[in-house]
Amino acid sequence: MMHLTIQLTRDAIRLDDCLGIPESANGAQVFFSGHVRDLENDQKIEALLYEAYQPMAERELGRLAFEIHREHPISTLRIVHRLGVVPVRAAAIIICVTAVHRSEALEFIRIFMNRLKQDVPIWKIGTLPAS
Amino acid sequence: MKIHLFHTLTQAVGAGEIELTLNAPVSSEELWDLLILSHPMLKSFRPYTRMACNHHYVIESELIHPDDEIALIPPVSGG
Repeated sequence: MMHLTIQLTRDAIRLDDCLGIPESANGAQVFFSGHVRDLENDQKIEALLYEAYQPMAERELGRLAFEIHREHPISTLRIVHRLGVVPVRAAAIIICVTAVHRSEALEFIRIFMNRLKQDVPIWKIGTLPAS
Repeated sequence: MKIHLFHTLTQAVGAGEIELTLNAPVSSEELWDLLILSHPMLKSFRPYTRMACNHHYVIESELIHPDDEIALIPPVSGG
């Protein structure tokens, strides 16, 4: 049984809002936070613009989560992906996993991020060049 | 029916949606053929664009019905 939370938002996302105290059976809490870099295709930028096919993106995130959970069982998963304008240094995605042991949590996040970048209909559709 | 477009496809077609009239179910391959007939600029995108039906990727030989929600999904780049 995995407890799953998915959120696509145009607001800023903060790690503090995603982390918590794991339940007593869980010995590991692992997070990944993906941030906008100041270089995109060798050009200095100030921000990236993200777009999603939102209902399908939410469904695919859930489908991938349960598919990977079958091989690498975890206890909780919280996914927050920011859409719209995301400035350099800001988080575009935060994933927090709790699990009984760290190995499942770490492996889950590694596989999940790879699959997200193949299957979830979210796009970087533009950049705001640095002035 | 409406076919939702995203990212590079929106730029190529010049709109976020394509309207198409379907009177009976067709295969996803047939739907692609119809879309390319009405919007030839989609042809070059077909090899690397996936079709989605009701928020899931279509599987080979899946039938598309006139009231389905269809989207064309170019390569994704989230995260």
